[in-house]
Amino acid sequence: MSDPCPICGGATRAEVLPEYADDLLGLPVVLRGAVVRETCTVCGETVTEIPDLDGLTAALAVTRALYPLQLTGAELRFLRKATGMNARDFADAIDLDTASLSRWENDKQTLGGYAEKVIRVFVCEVLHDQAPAIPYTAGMIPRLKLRPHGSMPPFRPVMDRVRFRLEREDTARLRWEAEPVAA
Amino acid sequence: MPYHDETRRIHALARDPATRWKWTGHAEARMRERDISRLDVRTVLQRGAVVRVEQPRFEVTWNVRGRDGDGRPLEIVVVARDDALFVTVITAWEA
Repeated sequence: MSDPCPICGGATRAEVLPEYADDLLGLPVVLRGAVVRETCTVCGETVTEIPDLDGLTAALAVTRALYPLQLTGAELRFLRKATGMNARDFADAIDLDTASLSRWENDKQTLGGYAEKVIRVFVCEVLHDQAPAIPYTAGMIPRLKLRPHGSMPPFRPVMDRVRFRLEREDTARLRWEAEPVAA
Repeated sequence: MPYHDETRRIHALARDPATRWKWTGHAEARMRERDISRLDVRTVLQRGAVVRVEQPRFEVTWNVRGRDGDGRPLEIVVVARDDALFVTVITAWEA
């Protein structure tokens, strides 16, 4: 049963969208069969529900960190925000000066391969527990061959909700999983 | 802090992985215009303070003021339904 409209209290009609292209997470992503759109039958307001926002954020961040295309400033900013840290805390955590992080996030300076890998490892170590359906081990990023822009498709992930059970859990829960992308 | 209980409630909701996040079309349009992401809103609701409670229409709304992960001051208007543990973001703007 859908919730009443938060604007007028009217009844709403809910539908699960087969595909939803989201542009408000900080990275573009297509979400399949999970986003619920409620439309008020009285005032016409629409309400969008994205399930498991924290899990989706973590899954998207880990998926991007494992995709070998070099990070843009906006992508680096997304990864940092996905950890829940401000720029100072994030820079402190990896022994980086905040000014360098700011230059990278604003595309005023290009990340080096070493620094980029440190950042990717850090982000995955912080977030991979919240994204258990994304395969990750600590050795994956050091072995990643980073590729310049234009040498491979841009990062355009498609995410699904899948039933996934951790060893320590009794039952499977819905988690976000990324559709495999050919690198 | 004038709305101490409401602030604690919104922090708990915004930090609870079980909370259902709902976004009105109006809020999403304003966010696009002002380059505010869902993570920015989440950060403000996790760390900001409720500064106003009112009932302009059907639901009681809470205005939450705080800074996003870039230090940008934002004010978010939300509807918090205790029973269903979800937050509906109504609108967002730079304070």
